[in-house]
Order: sequence, then C-alpha cells, then structure tokens
Amino acid sequence: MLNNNTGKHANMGEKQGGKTRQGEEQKVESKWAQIVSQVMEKVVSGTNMSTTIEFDNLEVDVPKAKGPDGRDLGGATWKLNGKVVWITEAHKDQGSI
Amino acid sequence: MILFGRKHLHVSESDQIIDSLFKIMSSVSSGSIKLEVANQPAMKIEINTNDDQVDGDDNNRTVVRLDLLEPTFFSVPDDQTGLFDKLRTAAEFAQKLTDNGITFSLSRKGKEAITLGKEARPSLSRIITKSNDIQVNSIKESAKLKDDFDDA
Repeated sequence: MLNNNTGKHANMGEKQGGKTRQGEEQKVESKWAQIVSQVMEKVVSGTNMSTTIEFDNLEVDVPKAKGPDGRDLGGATWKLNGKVVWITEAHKDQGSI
Repeated sequence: MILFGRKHLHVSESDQIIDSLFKIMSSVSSGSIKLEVANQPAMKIEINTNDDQVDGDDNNRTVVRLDLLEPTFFSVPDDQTGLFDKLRTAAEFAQKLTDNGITFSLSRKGKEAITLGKEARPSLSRIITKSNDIQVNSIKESAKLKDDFDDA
C-alpha cells in the first residue's frame, strides 16, 4: 500500500499504528504466557516422572472480603504444611497398531 | 510500561501473569516451598516478611529467595532473548517489586546471582541495567543461569 501524506491517510495510519501496538502488546503478553506455560508443562505433564511440592510452614494471608449481601466475611491466615506428590506414567494404547 | 517496536520482553501494566505473581507474593508472609522432580531437588522458595520500621517507612518488607537447584530444568530453548534483554526486563519487574516493598533474590545452586527490588543495592550493574532496583550479586552465576536457561 502506498503511503499518502493527506490528513485522511495520516488518520488511517494512526489507527493502523494503534492496531499494531495492540498486536505487539498481545504478542509480548503471549510470550510471557508461553514461557510460563512451557515451564509449567514440564512440571505438570512430564511422562514417567514424579513431582513433589513440599510446603513448610507457609503462611498465606487471606484478605478480608465482603459477601454478596455486603456481609463482612473477615480475613484469615492459612498455614500450609505437607507434600503434594504426583506421578505420571505413559502406557501403550493396546488398540494401536 | 511497554516500549513498542522492541523485541525483548516487557512488563505490561496489564500483565495478568505478573499481577497474579505479585498478589501471591504479597499474600504469603513466611514459609518455604520445595519442588522435587524425579526425586531430585529442582527449586526452593523461601519467603520472609518483617514489619520493622526502616527510615520512617512502616510498610511490610517481603523477601522472596528463589534458589534454582537444578536450573536446566527451567530452560526455555525457544526463548531467544539475550542476557541484556533479560536484565532490561528484570529492571522493569524490579521497579514493580520495589513499589510493592518486595525483594526477590535469585540463586543458582545455593549461590546468590541477582537481587531485585526493595533491598537491591546496585553498583556497577546500574550501568548495564540503568536501574536502582537490580543488583547483580555475581556476574559468573548470572551468566551460568543464562546458559542453563538456554540449554536445549
């Protein structure tokens, strides 16, 4: 497309520039998401692998919240201790050739 | 805070992943999390919060220590951003940490590599990052980390 320096075309360029910016912003955010998801995929779905997450006196402050009727639900402190273990195994599909 | 037309990662004001990360870091006051993969320690996170008043600043100070015990596990071979890009991104991230009173310390196999946020005291690293919120504790460990992340 030829670039013409009339006001009309300049506005169009601005609009297109806006779209490009939005596109770039989405690309940047999707790249963050892509990196995080790649790491998470390794942790969660690695085959024939055991993964353990151990919580040791982890204190989580749950902030105060309001219920749907405006009722004060209060806050809390959760203490987490213990392990979560998950094991993934790959099995051959007997139906496949 | 996005600089358009550049290919490195930036921390967007509306970045949901970063926002969620800050919410999690702000809500955890103390404790530790260990991650083991195939019975091998891969990562350890320690969190401490103190309420001490320092320089008239009475905000909580949260210190998050992340130790990558098996850093190659976290490699992202598709990520083509270089060390400088990563440090620039870290500078934006570190600014947000300071604003929220959080210090984030990254170690490799027990050796401190980079400190970001509130308690970072940069010296020479300020020249590279142009930030007061990022301190390179060890160039050697930081470079090793970069190599670990790039490993296929």
